[in-house]
Amino acid sequence: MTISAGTRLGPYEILSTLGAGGMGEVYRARDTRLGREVAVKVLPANRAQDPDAVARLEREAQAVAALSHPNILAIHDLGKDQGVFYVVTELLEGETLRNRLASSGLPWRKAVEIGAAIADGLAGAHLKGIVHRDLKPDNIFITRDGRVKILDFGLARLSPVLSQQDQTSAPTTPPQTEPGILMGTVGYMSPEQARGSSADTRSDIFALGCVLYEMLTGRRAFARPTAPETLTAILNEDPPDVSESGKQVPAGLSRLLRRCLEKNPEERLQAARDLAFDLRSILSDSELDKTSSGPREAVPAKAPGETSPAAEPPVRAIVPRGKSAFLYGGLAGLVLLLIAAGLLIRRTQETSRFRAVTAGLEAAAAGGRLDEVSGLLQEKGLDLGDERLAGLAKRVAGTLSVASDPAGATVAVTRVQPLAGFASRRPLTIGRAPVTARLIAGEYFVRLAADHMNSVEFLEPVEVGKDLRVVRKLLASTAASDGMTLVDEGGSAVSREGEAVQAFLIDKHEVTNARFLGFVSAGGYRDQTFWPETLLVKGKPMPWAAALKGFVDRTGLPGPRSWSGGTFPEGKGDHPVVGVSWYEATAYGRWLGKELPTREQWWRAALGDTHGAFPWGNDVKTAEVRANFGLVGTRPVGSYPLGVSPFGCFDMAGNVREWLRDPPSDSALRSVVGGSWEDPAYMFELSHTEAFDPAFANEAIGFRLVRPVPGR
Amino acid sequence: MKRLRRVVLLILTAGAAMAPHATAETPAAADAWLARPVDDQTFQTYLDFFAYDKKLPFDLRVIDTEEKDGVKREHLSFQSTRGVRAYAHLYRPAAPASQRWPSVILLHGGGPAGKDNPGVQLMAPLIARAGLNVLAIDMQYFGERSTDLLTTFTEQEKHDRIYNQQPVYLAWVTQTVKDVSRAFDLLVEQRGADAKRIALVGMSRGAIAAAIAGAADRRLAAVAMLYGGHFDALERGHLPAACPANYIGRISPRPLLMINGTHDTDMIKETSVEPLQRLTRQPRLILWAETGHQSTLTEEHRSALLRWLQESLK
Repeated sequence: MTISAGTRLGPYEILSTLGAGGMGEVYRARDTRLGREVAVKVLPANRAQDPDAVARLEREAQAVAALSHPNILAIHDLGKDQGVFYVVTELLEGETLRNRLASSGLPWRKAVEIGAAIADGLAGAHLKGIVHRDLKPDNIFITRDGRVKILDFGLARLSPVLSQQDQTSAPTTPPQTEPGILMGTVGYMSPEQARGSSADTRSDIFALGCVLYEMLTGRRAFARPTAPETLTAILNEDPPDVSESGKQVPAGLSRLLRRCLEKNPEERLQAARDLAFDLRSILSDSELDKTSSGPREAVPAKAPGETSPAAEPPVRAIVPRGKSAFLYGGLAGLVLLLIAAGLLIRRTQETSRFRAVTAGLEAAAAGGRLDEVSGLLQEKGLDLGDERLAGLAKRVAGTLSVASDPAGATVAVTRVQPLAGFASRRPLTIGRAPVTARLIAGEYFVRLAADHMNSVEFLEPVEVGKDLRVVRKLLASTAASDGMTLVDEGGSAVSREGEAVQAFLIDKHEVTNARFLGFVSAGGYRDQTFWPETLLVKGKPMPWAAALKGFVDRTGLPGPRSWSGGTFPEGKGDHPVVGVSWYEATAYGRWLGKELPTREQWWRAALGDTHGAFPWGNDVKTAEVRANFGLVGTRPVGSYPLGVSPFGCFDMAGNVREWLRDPPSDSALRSVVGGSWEDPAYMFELSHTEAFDPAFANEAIGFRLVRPVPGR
Repeated sequence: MKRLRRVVLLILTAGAAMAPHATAETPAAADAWLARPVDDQTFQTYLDFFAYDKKLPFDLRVIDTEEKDGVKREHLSFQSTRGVRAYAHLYRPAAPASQRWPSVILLHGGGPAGKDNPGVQLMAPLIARAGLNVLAIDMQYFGERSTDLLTTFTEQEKHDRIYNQQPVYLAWVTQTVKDVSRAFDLLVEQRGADAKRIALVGMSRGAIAAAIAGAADRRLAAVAMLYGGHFDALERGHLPAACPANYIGRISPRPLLMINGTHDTDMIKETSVEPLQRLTRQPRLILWAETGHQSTLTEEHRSALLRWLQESLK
């Protein structure tokens, strides 16, 4: 069905056809109310008549419309007119990544920049619980001014080529009739989707890995002649290393790509936000390597046959001798004079321009508006190392010195303020520890990363004129320390005498649904070795077998109360597991050789030696940005980096309340701490520790685990 | 003469309320006065705290408006008492009214953002979509009425600087009750609300204030207290004029709804909520959820609140 120019769909007047895709026809149209041009996508008639499909589209489009992310195509409206169902989006000028890749791969830096922008968009969507499910170069748009937008978010479900049912009904749509469309979709599908399992946020990370691979090499990661062969390759084979394509890319990028393309979602990079961070770290690492490698890199590259300026003979050697010598000499002198005058004028102009720039800086610094100073420096491409800014630096900056044990960790910092826009702010890699950097005063999110070590993240306040020194011991990455961070020995924030707590390891994140599924699948609910013989239920002893009848999901299968059919809700693999009692949390811990934290351990991990009211300090006013107290359900773990604790634990405040090992004064109950998504922020505070029956479970209580430091 | 006696009693009461040696009681020692609220004569003196100037111009300013998901929201400010501005959000069903809407005045809990606390932002549109106006106001020191008195908004700070500072707390309660009465007038006079169908709903700290304002301003048709009690776990001392125990029984014969959590360690069931519930009178609806202290209601209790509002504001 094609709609002719001049037709009205609701308030939208069709102007021309833009193209066609799996979603149906796309038109350029004019919004007659607002007088702006928009894109209108008209759904295929067979889809528009399916009420379930339309209802799902409406729900998802509403969710996407609420995203408002710079890297996601904005949805303005949904409507139905004359039996035609349509979606109205912003109108973009540019080309799809598919077009951009038509001839070859991209320079690796460009590919990484685009990849990081896509990861930003995915992170924004994942934060709202929305999974794309069909990310591919056709769904990525690069505008004329270089902005990257992900298209068809949430709408992908309606695309006929994605439907599993349609895939299996291949005889009516043989691959050879529409190889481009079919392969284009199948080629980016994650192994779990290929197996028919549900997609979650990690499926998008796999797809982005495929897109990155294609941008780098110019070849699809799993290119095969037919759809079944492609699916087999996705399930069983690894793509050739990027270097085999003849492209030289940083080793870290190849490693990161492999982590995106892990077959098992559990072993895959878990969060798009982390992927964006890592991609930008690779970019800034390479910038750093360039600048730190000194004069060797400073020599301009030259093409074969080109003469190096340094090798040119001195001027006097080329001055001809004889009658014309004076004339040439005079001309040369004049030229030199003109050059000198030009240089003088240029320097004066530069000084004048520099003063104009620094006038704004000086005014901002004098007003104490350090965020503005930071923004202006970034905007103008200036840094505090510029000797012309030495005076300013003294008034606005301090230093941050970071050492790691073992030495050599890459240190990246991101300025926290202003809080708005933190997620899209680019981290600055300041070097390898031990390292010292001069930074505008303010709060910084610091990340230390090293090969074979668990990364650690934390917040540090840099003060004007002061040298802040930080030393961090890194934890070797082993199976036992997976996902954990080290908490040093130190005073307890909750014991009256501040008694010392021995060092221990604690999960950086609340235990996720996906991880808990491992326990359920391994028969954890059937193996009594993880459970006590007798459980207390509402204060009364109950044999294990009888008590376990209550620990079932909504369909009666063993598992958390929030699950159905023996598994977690779709798309919530990286959300904290909820609907688990204290007994189930303890049994899961025993299965892993871990246990719930004591009251002292939990509070030490949350507050360290800061004596703050919250992991980030005392300010509850920023709680909604730094923690999930949002009343809209759980969020993927780690979605709130600015709530990170001094030891690198995320979501200690908010998201879900967490069970503690030891009982409160009433030994029949067990404590929960930290506050949750359904609480006001002040519920994090120690005074709001609450206690529940150990067999109790609800949608707002989860847990994390601890274990002793290996070798102690 | 009667007026003079009331003034004398008022001074005596206020003075007693602020004399720690005479009145400072720990919550555990409060059973006696909890069992016996003040008599009517004393209660009448408390009402003098809440007298306000009905003729004071509102100086109403509409800051902005927006419409989302079938609900119009008007961001406004008005003069509550002389020289004191209150800030509020008025949520209204987007559909034009065929009759005058019933209304709710909503008081937030102790979070720093006041009417912008997530609990209010969730609850207010929900009630508006059910066909009621909701005027959510910032209580003094919260939201747009923040001052230097509270900076971090930790529980300790709020208790150290307001709740356990008896003169400050009395002044705060007094201002809050006046704010509610002025909000009532504003709804009726400036926004055409039906004066016979306006309820007061309070959450947590706002629920404590709602018990007091609900008894003090008898024009309110019904009062709901969500996760409220007669004091919270960190409060010390007893201030009769600002204690809901002396008010809650006087909400009757207007309907009262109380929703609480059995595991709430802020408004503790046994020491804070049940003693207060024993002072309530019919008609009342008391609901318990197996939850802690939280800023949202269970699905079941959200529905119960909406049903109760519609029934009470017929």
